[in-house]
Amino acid sequence: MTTALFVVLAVTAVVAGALVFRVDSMARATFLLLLSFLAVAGLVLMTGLQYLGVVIVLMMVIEMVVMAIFMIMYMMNPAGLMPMSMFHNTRGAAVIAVTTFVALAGGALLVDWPVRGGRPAADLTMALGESLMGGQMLTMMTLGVTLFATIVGTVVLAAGRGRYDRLGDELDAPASDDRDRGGVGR
Amino acid sequence: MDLRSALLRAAVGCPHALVVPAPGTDRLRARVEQELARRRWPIASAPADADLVVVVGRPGRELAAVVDDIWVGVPAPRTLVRIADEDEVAAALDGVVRRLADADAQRAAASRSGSRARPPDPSPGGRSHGDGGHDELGPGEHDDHSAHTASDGGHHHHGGGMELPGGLAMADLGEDRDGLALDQLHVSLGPVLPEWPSGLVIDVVLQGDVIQEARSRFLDLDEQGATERLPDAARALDTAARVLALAGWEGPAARARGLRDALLSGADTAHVPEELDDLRRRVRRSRLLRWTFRSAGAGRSEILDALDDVLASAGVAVAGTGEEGHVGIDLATLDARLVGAQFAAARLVVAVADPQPRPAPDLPTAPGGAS
Amino acid sequence: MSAAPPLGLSILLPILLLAVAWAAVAADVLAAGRAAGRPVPWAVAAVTPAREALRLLVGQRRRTVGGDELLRGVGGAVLPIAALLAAAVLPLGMRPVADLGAGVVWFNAMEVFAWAAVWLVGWGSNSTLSLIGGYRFVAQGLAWELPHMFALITAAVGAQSLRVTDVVAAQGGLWFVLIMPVAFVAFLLSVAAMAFWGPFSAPVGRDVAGGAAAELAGVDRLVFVAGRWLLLVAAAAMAVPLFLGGGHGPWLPAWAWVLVKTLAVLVALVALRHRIPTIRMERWTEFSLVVLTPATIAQALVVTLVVLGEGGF
Repeated sequence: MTTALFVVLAVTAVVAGALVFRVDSMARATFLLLLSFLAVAGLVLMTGLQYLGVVIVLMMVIEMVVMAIFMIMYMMNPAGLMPMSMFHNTRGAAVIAVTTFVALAGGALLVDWPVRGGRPAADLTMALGESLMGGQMLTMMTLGVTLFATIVGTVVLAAGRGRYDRLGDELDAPASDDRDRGGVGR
Repeated sequence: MDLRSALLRAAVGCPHALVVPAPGTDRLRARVEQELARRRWPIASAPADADLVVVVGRPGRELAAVVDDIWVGVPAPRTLVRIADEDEVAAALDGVVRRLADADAQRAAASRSGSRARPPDPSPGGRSHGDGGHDELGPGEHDDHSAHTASDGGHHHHGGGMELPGGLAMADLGEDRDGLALDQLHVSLGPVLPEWPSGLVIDVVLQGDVIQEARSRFLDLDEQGATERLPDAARALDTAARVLALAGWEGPAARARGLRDALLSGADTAHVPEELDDLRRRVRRSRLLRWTFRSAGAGRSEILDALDDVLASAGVAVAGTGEEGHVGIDLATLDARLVGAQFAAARLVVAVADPQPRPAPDLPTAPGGAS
Repeated sequence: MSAAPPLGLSILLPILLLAVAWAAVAADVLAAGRAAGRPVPWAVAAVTPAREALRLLVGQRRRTVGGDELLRGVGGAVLPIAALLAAAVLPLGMRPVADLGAGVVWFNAMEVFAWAAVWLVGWGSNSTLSLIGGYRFVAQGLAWELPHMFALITAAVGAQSLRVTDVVAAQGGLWFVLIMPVAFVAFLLSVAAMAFWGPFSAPVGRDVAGGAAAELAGVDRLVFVAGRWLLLVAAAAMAVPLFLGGGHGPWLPAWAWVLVKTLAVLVALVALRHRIPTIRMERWTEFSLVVLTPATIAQALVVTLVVLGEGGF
């Protein structure tokens, strides 16, 4: 039963991932990728890491849908079933992909995995949190803040109109001159 | 079999009606809406949601083509009613449920017509009917391949442009308001949209949901017969009802419509001024409405001010004290206002401007009069 | 993972959800009639959900030319399934169908599927208005998701567990709504928002002719609309274990309290809905990110400090 489930999830993950490059609709490609990720989340759940598995589902759904929005920006045709090629540098990409796959799969099969010594903790979510946030607290916090700063920095650099354009050099305009005001009015 | 027909009757007992008014039939349309509300038949938002298409007035050539297009997208069981006179309204709607529940006739009609909707047993050729590729893009919205060049022909020019499966126009690139080169789409809005002026079509260039270019026109201008206009008060209430409905405030919208109908039928209008005041007070006091309508310019809301003006003019007209009518807007001004607006805002702008096919001869067209 | 889900409860859950959704639709019809000044009789309102469902069952399905039928179908089906799966961690009485260790996160993950579902339906219909409806929901989703997550986290922090039954157990004395009112309000707002309902119905708004659902007919529309109501019911019901003490209460058995409280939340939502207009996306987004998100973070901080002060963790 467990083996069957594993095989189904593993095959789904790989096949859906490969199909991403076979379909000619951006929407289908996006959601096939999502399917692949969901299968991986299922595999993570099978290892008993409930929290991680569910968080993968959560993040991937949001991520793929946000990606779909960018897709509309660059291609507004709804449904978009027009056959189109989404490949660049096909040969190089194929070489990289195959090499990576062989390396990873080879590693997984050839490495002499250690035998489990202890027993899994009673509450894996708690154990995961403690191992991440106990000894590695500083690393995780630095990582988190760095990532967040990167996101904010990218947006600030990319935005054509920042807050100084909208609210004046001293940021003292009573309201912005946006055509469409937000709900707060700044 | 008996149970089946009973179930079918129950299923179609409360049909959703899609109202397709010809330009200049506001009075008749109001009468139809009143009768639908009396029967508690919901107004459909789109052809897909409709069981019943009510064609109000005598459509000209262009609108007739639109009706044909829409009819293809209405799922069976379905029926179409043409109403050209106020006396026919109740009688025409009376037969609707019986016809919808007539399974044999529905089935025969479904197999006859080239319905785009999937037949009950999907046949391999199910998709072939789209051969002309001119089905509507959305509810009452027609893709117009020639929109880039000149778009005031009919709805069925599918000449140039790149043909996609299904005959949609390929989107092209354009600069957005932040200077990014993004896709834009040429679509026509109307003439069959909820809370939309009769017979109006606006060809827009849409980027995301921001309108970049707009050109409004009325269908069948050349063959339009005598227009029957609503009295000032009723028209103002009609406009207010549309704006409120677009704002998603269904209750007050229905009340405004009820007041309009009371004025039109002239039966019992004693309560109208009081309820009108009440409605106006509610609109002015709603902070959420003010918040959601508020546009550029601190604290002021053009739409809300216009809505308040409309309600005030309704009050004036009901009281019969002044001759200040609700002034229409000319299409060029409307187009200018739509450019740069988001879709939701644009819908409100159109609803509150409420353009009419021909400006009233005795009233000067005052740009900006509606706000 | 805990023991296999009890069979009885798993069969009961969809039936219960549908029954409560029925009641919610009927209440909505009543409230709409009253708001419009055209009251609907009780009997008519009570049969309206069944009649509308029957209408859509009888109605023909419909395909749009050039539409992506596969994606649209998947999107429509995902909506009710997501609602059902989200409800799996809902304690009916004291016991849920699946008492997951990360139940609160599970609930969140399942309801996020609505994003994908609405977007897919809007996109797959090959109609501009549907598409606008579809991405309106994503904009809305980005705005409500953060306050929503912080509201969930606050409840979890208060109980020091992600397990929904633990959250209920922690409210034996004091309901969480009293110590985390901001989180509760944010949660209720996001309940309506995730079901794109009431003031958050712009994705299926009248101005876009039904938005994401504009091209749906027959069974497709039934599944979509039913899925939306189920989502609303499941999310509203989740407010009970998270903030309203779950099955705790005097005199009545736990299941009855859950039912009563769920119905109360729904009645409050329905009554409020007809008093207010739809909120525009651009307004809501800024308010949500600039006001609501910091407010919920502050709420989470306060609750965390209280828990630490009481010697938690």
